[in-house]
Amino acid sequence: MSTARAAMVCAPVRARGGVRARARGAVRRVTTRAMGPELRESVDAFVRENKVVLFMKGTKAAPRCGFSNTCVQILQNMNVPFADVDILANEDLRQGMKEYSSWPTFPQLYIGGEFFGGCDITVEAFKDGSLKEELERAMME
Amino acid sequence: MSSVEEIERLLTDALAPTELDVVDVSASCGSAFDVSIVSAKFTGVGRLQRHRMVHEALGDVMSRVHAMKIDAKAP
Repeated sequence: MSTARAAMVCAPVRARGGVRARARGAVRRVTTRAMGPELRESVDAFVRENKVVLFMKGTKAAPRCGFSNTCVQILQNMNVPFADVDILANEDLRQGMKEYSSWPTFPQLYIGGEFFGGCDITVEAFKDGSLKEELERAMME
Repeated sequence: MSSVEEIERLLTDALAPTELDVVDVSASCGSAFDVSIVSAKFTGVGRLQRHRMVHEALGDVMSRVHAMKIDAKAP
């Protein structure tokens, strides 16, 4: 999709440990496979540069999980441009994003650089209108 | 694999729900569940954090199952 995406997916993960807490109020589970600083920085930059990012199983053209597909349908329905990242293509990214977001499952939706939620939250927010508000706010920034 | 009973016990212990409905939606394979929970502990807590409280209560169950649909509300 973009060079930023390619860089993130290809970022090597050699370092272990040294992970700092990122999400406010999140309970951090210690895993044996910490997200390396290079990958973390790539994700930081990617979610900053792209206003809406969906970390998903498969791609928006070919989702490989019903929950990821649901989020793609919602975002497409709202006519919002978004970047898709296939976490199945990179095991380090897949494990790392669980830690980065303090969230155990996929899809993971980022809006304006912030973790917004998984599938249930996205569906709920789509229905109650708060997703639209959040997207509009991010687009105006 | 996990069971409805295990999930109910973990959520009951951690969150003292006033309403709790756990359904195995994987044809009783123990790999996908729908959880609907109402707890006073969610009062004043945002949507994201309510889900995180459920994830935390479920611990390793989250990594063992394929899917966990969560509806977490305050009374």
